[in-house]
Amino acid sequence: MSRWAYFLLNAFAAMADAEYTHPHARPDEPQAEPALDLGDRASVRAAFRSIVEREWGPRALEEGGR
Amino acid sequence: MVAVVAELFGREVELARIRGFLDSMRHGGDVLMVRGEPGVGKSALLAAAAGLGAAESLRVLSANGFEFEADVSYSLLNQLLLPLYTDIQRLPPALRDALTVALGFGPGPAPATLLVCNATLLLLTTAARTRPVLLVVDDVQWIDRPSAVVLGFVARRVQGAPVGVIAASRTGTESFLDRRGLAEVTVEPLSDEAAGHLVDTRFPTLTGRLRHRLLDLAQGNPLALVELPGSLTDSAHPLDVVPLSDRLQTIFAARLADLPEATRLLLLLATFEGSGDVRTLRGMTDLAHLAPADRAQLVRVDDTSGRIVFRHPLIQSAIVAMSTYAERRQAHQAIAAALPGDPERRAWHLAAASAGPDEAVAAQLEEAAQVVLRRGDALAAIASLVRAAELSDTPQDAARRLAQAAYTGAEAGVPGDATTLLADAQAMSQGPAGALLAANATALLMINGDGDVHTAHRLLAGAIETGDHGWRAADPALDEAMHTLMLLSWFAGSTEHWAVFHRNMARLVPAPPDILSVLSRTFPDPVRTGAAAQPDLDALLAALPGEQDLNRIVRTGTAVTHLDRLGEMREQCWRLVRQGREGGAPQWQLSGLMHLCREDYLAGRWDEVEELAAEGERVATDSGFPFLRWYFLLNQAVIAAGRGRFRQAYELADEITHWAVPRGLASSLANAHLPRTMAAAAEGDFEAAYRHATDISPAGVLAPYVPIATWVMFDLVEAALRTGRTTEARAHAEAMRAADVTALSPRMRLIQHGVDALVFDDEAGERIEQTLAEPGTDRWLFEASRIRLAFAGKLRRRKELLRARTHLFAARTGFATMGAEPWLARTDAELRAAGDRSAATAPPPAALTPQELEIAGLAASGLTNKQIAQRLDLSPRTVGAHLYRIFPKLGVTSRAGLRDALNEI
Repeated sequence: MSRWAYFLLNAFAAMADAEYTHPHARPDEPQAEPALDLGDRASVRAAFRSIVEREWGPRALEEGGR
Repeated sequence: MVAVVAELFGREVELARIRGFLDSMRHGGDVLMVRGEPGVGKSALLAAAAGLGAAESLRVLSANGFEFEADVSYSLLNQLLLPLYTDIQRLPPALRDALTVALGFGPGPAPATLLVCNATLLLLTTAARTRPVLLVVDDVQWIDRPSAVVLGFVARRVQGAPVGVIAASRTGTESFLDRRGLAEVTVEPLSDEAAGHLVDTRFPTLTGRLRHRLLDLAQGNPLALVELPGSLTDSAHPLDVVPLSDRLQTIFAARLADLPEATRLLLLLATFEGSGDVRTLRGMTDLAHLAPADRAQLVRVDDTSGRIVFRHPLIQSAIVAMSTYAERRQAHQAIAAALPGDPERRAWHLAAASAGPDEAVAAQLEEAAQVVLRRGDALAAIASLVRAAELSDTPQDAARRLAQAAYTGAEAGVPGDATTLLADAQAMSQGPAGALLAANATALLMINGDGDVHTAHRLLAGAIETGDHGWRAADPALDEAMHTLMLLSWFAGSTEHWAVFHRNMARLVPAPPDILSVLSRTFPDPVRTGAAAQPDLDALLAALPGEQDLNRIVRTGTAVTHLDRLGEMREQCWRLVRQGREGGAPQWQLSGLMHLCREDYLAGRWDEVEELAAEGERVATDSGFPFLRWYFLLNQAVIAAGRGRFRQAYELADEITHWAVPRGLASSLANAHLPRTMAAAAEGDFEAAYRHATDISPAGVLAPYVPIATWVMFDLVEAALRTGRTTEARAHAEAMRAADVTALSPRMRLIQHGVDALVFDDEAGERIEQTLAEPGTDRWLFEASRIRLAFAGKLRRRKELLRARTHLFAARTGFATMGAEPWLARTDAELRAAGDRSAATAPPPAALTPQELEIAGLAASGLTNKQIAQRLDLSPRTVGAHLYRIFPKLGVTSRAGLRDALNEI
């Protein structure tokens, strides 16, 4: 398993924690089960992106965003 | 001056305020009133102001109000203006005469107050023309009325002249000085940090409980922080009130002086009663008497809890100090009478009310000591026993109770107290029980300190054999002494030491108590006497569910250890650990941890072993049980060896050896060879493994009184075969058969069959496969996996590859579960040799540890981290950390995914 795939699964574990709340997260929003191929770099990157967008909002990844 | 300011702790804000005041008064006059509780440090701040003023070339005039001069007119003004006597003579005549008469420097009719006020004002403003003048007045609450009027007059008219007035008074008291319109600074008690800093600077040797108690009592009052240490003792006496120094007494008693007698007695009752519970006190006295104390702000009634709360803890001390002996006795008697349902506190109050020896009360206190000891509060038990000794009718009873206190202290890890008590007990004429308890306490102190175990054994055995107890098995002192003698014999580990123990066991009449009897057969030399004790062991285990006596649980655990039945009492062991974590007795917590470490190791819960061993090491060190620390080092070493941290394993083993050698602890020395054997075997250095295993017990011999030898039987035989010592391997297997170790436990049966399968013929091979297939065998995860791996090697060499691979797959799962990396690698290598192609690349099948598996299961069932944490007695963070590892191991992205992943395992 690649290092990034390992980190990604760590991130999922943290998000799946029932007590986990990021101040910007919207926990009421259904969390889509990502279709994920851990061997595929693009798939892993997309999953990271979806986590960041969910937690910090879509603006987080925009140019000049936080 | 710098020194004066430097000594003030936590007063940065107030000092800044004073500096500002000094600055502003020089440029046009200013006034500052300093207010605060007695002892809070007002005088120190005033002294700092005077010092800073003098350093800045101000003319500083100081005066203090005195309680006994409050009725002498102008007495304060006299003090304050005396240094300006010459200047007074230069005032205009009318003003000069008025002030001269007022201050008592000359005769004449009483002057008008306004004349004196104006004279003083002119005197000060004139003097200030050459040098700014600072008036420093302390204890304003005690200044005489006429001086107060003048001071108030001056204070309101200093604007424009470089004259400053700084005055201090107590909160809660009124004075003649009209404070209206004057700037105030209130001095609060010191912060916890500043108070701690002050204590650490002034009393650097004061630490631990005593320091904590001081901070608690003083509540940030600097005077109390400085004065109390002289009278503070490290007492666990539940009724103790700290005595006050004269200065503190003056401060706190002054506030009580005006209380009606009935109120004072009520406060005395409340102080001794301790809880302040209004309902309890109502049964003893009329609570209407509380009102004056409430008005004087000494106490308040907390309506929500229904309790009387003292505004400062030292008020209680002052109350006690002001009471007479007769009043104190009566108060204790009244409280004892009101506590029929609380024998422990009742005994304490009766003891406090006793004027001389009183055997009945002493006996009640002794019983109370047993009650609190069962709760795990050794210090309170010791205090009860010492007081019981003081009240004893006869020196024999007194010595026996002191010795019991010393034993309690030694067993609970309070060596300092125990040593002193022991000396006291020995100085008194001793009855037989006292002598035995004293010897018992001494022996425990010796092994817990630097003493050697041989001397401790000799001393205790001597006390037992010369004791006048008639060998009555029911004698509690004798029973305790025999348990300690067993412990010492185990540590010493030689046949001679055990012979003394068994000789004395045989003398007990009518028969040894149940646990001691079972222990004497299962603990010292299990391979020879353990199996026959199984029925008695069943009875002990059957009685456990309702058992309240934690000491019996601990000893039952020790009794079942070598017969591998600790798994049947996990719940009780956790109970021992939990009570310690919740502030209970550390000695029982340590026993629980020892039992759990052993049980977890055998069952493959190695993560838990590492957690509990770390906890045990910490508790043993912190709670005064250094002689138990080695056992937790041993557990850490064994896991380190199994997981491939070889250097750590050897270092820990060496640490145990270095500690055990000077103390003569042969058993600990033998145990230290276990991690060495395991590390060497895991590294594949079978020559070294053989050497370490035979250091514990030679090949072909099951050394007597070396229970740890059963743990390396398989290692010894495997290492012997790997190094070409077929004869030795066979001899050891035969010795095990001759001793019928299979009768000890299913685990020992597995090991015997495993050894047989390596050494003997096909029939033995078939038998080990049957044994391995039996339900429950894989419970002994490490040993079952080791046996499978070794046996598979033998099968592979005989070209029975399929059969070999079956065992290797099972072994690989086992080793992966425990995180036993070197064994996992060996298994993979063996698998490749047995023709398995997948072993080269595939990750171990879902290598979850047992704890991870448990957490994953609970999370999959829908529990939150918090719920899982509560269920498993972990912190939610730990649960989170486990899940952090579990997700990548199972390759899942959600809790829901866990369930499917688990089903696939």
